[in-house]
Parts: sequence; C-alpha cells; structure tokens
Amino acid sequence: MHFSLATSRTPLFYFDPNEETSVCFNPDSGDTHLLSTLAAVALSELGDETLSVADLTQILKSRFDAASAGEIETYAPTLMEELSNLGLVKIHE
Amino acid sequence: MRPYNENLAIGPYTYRIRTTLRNVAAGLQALYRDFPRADASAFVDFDIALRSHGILPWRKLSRFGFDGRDQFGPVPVHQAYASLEWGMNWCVSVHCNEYLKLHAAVVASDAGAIIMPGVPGAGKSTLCAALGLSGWRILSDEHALIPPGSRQVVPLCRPVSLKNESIDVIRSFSRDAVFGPPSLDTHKGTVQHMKGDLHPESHATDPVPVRALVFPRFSRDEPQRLRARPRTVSFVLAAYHSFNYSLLGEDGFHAMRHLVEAAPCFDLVYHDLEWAMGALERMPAGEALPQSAEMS
Amino acid sequence: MTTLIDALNDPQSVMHLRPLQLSALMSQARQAGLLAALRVHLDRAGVLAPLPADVTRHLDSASLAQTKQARDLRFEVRCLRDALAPAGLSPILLKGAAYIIGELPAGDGRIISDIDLLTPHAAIPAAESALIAAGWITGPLDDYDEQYYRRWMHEIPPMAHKSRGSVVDLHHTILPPTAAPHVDAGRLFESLKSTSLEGVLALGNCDQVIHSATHLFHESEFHHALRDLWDLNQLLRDFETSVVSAHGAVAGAEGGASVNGAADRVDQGGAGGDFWSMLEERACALDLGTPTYLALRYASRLFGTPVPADTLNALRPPLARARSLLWDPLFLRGAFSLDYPGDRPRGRAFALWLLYLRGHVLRMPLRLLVPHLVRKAVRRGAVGKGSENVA
Repeated sequence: MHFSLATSRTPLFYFDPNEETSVCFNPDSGDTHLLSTLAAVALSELGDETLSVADLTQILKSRFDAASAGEIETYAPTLMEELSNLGLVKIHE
Repeated sequence: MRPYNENLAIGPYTYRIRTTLRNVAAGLQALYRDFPRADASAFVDFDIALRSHGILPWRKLSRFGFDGRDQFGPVPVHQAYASLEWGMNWCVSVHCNEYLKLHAAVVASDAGAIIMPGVPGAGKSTLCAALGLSGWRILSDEHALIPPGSRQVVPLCRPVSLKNESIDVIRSFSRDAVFGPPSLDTHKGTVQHMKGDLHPESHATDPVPVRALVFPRFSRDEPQRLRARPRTVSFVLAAYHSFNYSLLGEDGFHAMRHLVEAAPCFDLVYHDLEWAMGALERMPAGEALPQSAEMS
Repeated sequence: MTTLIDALNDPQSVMHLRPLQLSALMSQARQAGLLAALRVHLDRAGVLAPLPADVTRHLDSASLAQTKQARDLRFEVRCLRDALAPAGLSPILLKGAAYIIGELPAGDGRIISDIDLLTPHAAIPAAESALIAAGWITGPLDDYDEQYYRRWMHEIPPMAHKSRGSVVDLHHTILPPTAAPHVDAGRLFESLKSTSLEGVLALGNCDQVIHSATHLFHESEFHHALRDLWDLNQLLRDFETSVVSAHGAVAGAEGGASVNGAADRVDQGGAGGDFWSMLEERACALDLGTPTYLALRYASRLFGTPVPADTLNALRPPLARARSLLWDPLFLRGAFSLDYPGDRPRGRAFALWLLYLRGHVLRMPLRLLVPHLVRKAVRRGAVGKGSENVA
C-alpha cells in the first residue's frame, strides 16, 4: 500500500513543539483540522512523493521517540486511512 | 417622546438609527447617550430603522429595516430593543470581512486586551460587565475584530447583553450599572442591556495589543481555576467561535496563527466574579509560556 | 434611475458622489446582491482605489465572501462530477454556477444561493440515486410539497449534502411542464459546451441567455431581478464579441476558432450567422421568444446593452405595444427598482404583488394555481409565527 497527498497543494500547519496536537489547513476544501502531531508530521513528509507504509514508519520513527516505535508501526496504516477520510491523503493499493 | 434619529460613531463604523418606537428610543437614549455622533452628511455604514408594524393594538409588532428593506420577521414590540441590538451585531457579523472576527467579549487594562471567546451561557458577558464596572475598559461584548496579520484588536464598544439571572447578578454587583429596557420571553429568555462605555477611553478607536485569549466557563461544581491551555486546541476552538474564519480561507488561517502565536491561552473556570477578576488581574504575562513554532 | 444602475453604467460617476450618495450606493448594491460584482466593475474602470477606505471596505468584504463562495462552488462541483460519474452522467451547470465555473465575465463577483443542474428527464432517477449514494439527501418535505415538485415542477425537491450542507437543484427542463410555452427540453442538450472543469458542462451561449431570460420573466419573486438583468447584459455583451472574434475577420492571427478553447464558444447555430440571429432563431425554436424579447428590451433600456433593432423587432410578441403599457410599470417600478433609500417608488409593492401573481399564472394553469397559492399563504402564516428572532 502506498500513500500520497490528496490536496493540490501542501496543507498549512501550525505546530507547537510542546503540544501533542497540531493544526492543519486543507487548501482545497478550506477545512481546518486538529490532528495529532504524529499525523501532522506524517502529512508534511508526504509532500509530492508517494510513500509506502515502511517508508513512512521509518520517517516517523526517526522523528519521534524510539520508545513509541512499536506503536508507530501498528498505528501508521490506520492513521493513513483516517487522513484519507478527511480528504488529505490518497491511498494507492 | 420624539422619534430617535442619530448617526452614531461606534468603533470603526457609523450606524444611522431611526425609530418611532418609544421603548426603543428610551433605551437608545439611556445606553448610547455618551456615544460620539457622526456628522449627518458623513458616510453611513449601516442604516437601521425600527418601525411599528401591525394594526392590532394588543399585538404591536416591530420591524427591523436594513438598507430600506425589512430584514427579519416582525417581533413583539416588547422585544424590539433586544432585536435592535441583535440586528446591530448582525450588521457586523454578516457584512464585514476586513477583520478576522471572533465571537468573543473583549476587555482591556493597561497590560493589554483579553479576548474571551465563548459559547452563549459560558458567562463571558457577565464577566465582561463586572470587569467594566470595576475599571476595565470594555472593547466589545460580542466581536473581537483582529486586523489580519496583526496582534491587535479593534475596539467596538456597545452595550453588554445580559440574560436571565445574570441581570440580577450584575444589579447586585454594582449600583452604578445603567440598564436599557428589558426584553421578555425572547428565544434567550429575558434579555437586558447594560451601558458599556464606562471607561474614559471607551470611544477611542486605536487598536489595542492582545495580551491573552481566555476561554471562560461558569461552573458551580468545579474548583475555580485559571490554567494555561494548548495553543493548537485554542486555535481550533477560537476558529470554531469565529464568524468568518473559514470565509477568509488561507488568510484566516494565517491571521489566527499570527494571533495565537503571540497570545498565551487560558481556561478560566469560575463561579465567583471577584475571584475571576482577581485571577485575570494576576494573570502571568506571555513570556513564561512556551514558544510556538510554525511549519508550512 | 437608481444610483446603482448609474454606477454600473458609468463607473466614473461614482467619483463625484457625496458620502451619503455612496452610502445609498452600498445599500442598493448589497440589497440587489451586486456588491461584489460592483467591486469588479469599479476595479476594472480604475475607480476603486480612489474611493475612501470606509466605502471600499464594504466592497472588499462582499468580494471576500464571494471569493469564498466561488471556491466552495468549485469544490462542490468537483464532488458532484465525481458523484455522477458512476451513473455515466456529467453535471450540466445552469445560471450562476455556469457563469462562475465557465469563467464568464458574468461570473465575476456573482453570488449564488444554490447549485442548479440540468439532467435529461429520463436520467433523473439515476442522477438522484447517484447523489444519494454520495451523501446528498432530500430535506423533510410533506406529501403535498413532494407531489407538487414531482408532478408539476421542472425540478425535483432540492437536495442538500448531509455534512457540507451545499444545496443542489436538479432540473430536467427550464420551465415547469405546466407552463404555456412547451419547451422541447431535448434540444437543450444539443449544444452543450465545456467549462473550466473537466467533465463539467454548461448550456450553449444562446441557451444560457434564453434560460436566464426565461427564469427571470417567469419568476414570482423578484428579489434578484436587477442582478439577473445585469447577468443578461453581461452575457449578451460577452457572447456578441466572442462570436464576432471567431467568425469575423478579426480572428486573423488566432487562425480560426479552435485555439484557446474558442471552439466551445461557437458551437451552436452552425456556420455563418452572427450571435444575434442565432439567438433569435434559437429563442423561436424553443418557443421562448417572449421572455427573450423582454430580457433584450429591459437590458438595453437599463444597461444600454447594444441589441440590434432587427433582433428586437423579430422577437417582438403580438400586441407588444399594448402589453408594454402594463409591462413597463410592472418591471421598471416593481422588479427592477430598489427599496433604498427609504422612499420606495410609488406602487412598488403593488407592482411586485401583480408580478407575483403573473409568475404563478405563467407557470401553472389556473386550476392548479389556486390551491397552491392558498396553501402557500397558509404555510407562510404558520412559518411566520416561529421565526421572530434574529440572533
């Protein structure tokens, strides 16, 4: 399974390094979402590229504590599905 | 009583207000007597006329005219004053997009302005009235007007709308409060407006720097507290309580980000007005709070 | 003549308005739904920047709201296209949505209230189920309303998207089947043209004009009459020149009609013939000569639209001279006048009431009309009681 951005431009983000949530603005729909910072980082990494679950997990592991690596591995596909439901991510089988 | 016909300078706008309804004219004379008058030949932003409607003497109605056209359904004449104030809010809520508009009460001390977004019933108006009666400057009971890209709020001082038990709370809080006519049995219950321009600077028009965003909530059952809250969550909540955040699209996002980056955010849970006011006086300044980062 | 019409016809004239006249202009434009369109027009004429900031902020505010609406419309239309695709249908946009997505001058600053789509009558059930599958729902209607729409109207009950709230009206022709002119709806699908969105269509140029005119002059409510007439003025001026540039000698360097999508703009009426004669032919073929005549008459009267006298003469309905004794006061004093400032033209309310009846008579035979009007009056009374607050 591969993923890419579903929006025509990169979404806009507002991060606060001390907070577990981030704000994400979808430039196509005009919707604003409150995402977990993990989801927001995943989204900002997607850019124009199409990434696999493994690529994505690798990137997220390098950005977040090694302790949560296991969680990231199990959580990543669900996360992508949720982002797809919000119209932010496109899933390629 | 003579019909009321004045051009009032209210914050950045000029309202022309005319009415032949006696209770509405009396309310206007009480609550807007100290407002500056705009020149009669000057540009008018909002032209409002309240006139009586219907021929049945026991069922007198009032109509709200805007741009020379009846705008909403008629209301019973004993609710006319509240309908005027709501209509005046509506003018700004619906027709003005030069600012990012948050649904919020705004008060200021020498330390700057505090924006208090809140759902109806959260107690923002009660707190706003009490602060106004205690020496704070009321910048608005309804709209926080933020010029996009700034960290300032533009004053739009008008009477404070109080509902049901809040009216008695404020009456017993201060004998100095001046009230307009009560509007009974509205969809919000009994509504009465309090004169809001109580500060020497009330009618100054310069923007005021924003010191904090405080989200008030009235609760008898919880311990009172003023506590920092996440900025990202506050961003989304303030956007949700905005009249035109989504209308402004990307510009709205940037305007809100710019504001929230600069203003520390707090939750305020209270049931005692004196305690809440003290907490706001002692509120820490922004520098102790975490810095924000932006990525895009 | 109102301040607004003067400003639209001669943007330079706003430079000489006093502050209170500018207030009246803003009020009139807001009331007519033309504030954002006025901004576009003043900006093009170079008179926006010199206006005082307390005036331009109203124009800018309306323009921001319109921009947001156009952005949302684009998003919605894409959703509609994707929703209809499985049924093998392409959305055909009507009126405001067509002007905006078609990127016509009439779409600049145009505000819309809902999205009107045209679908062949036979395809309505398929379109309806495709939309339902994609999240559009029909609001709660009582049996009477449901019957009213399905049996007598040219559209099915409006559908709203359950999460986004956008409202879509599906039409299968441009007039109710009960109305006197019998429009052969099938002909409307002969000359569709593309828009700025792939897979999204609009009526051909002449049909857009005829549809807009028919809509305006068969209406019962005239809140947006002036705006609709302004649309017509814009469409006519635009289509007239776009046909000339494709057919006439001026096309020159462009090398014919196929460059820059210009082919889409000349796809009806066949070769030869200019826009006005195509319009005339088409209006007669669709049995909609009278509304088209009225549109041309009042657009040229109020906005100076350069309509050739021959076209007007050809479309003039029987007894036009006598009928205009009634039409002129009704439309000029009623439909196309504005309430502001305060002193509305004498007889405006009466003229509007007559127009309300006229609209109903035009759309339905009298036997149907009476029960519907009675019913509507009763329901209005019932609604009026509940909606007394504004906040």
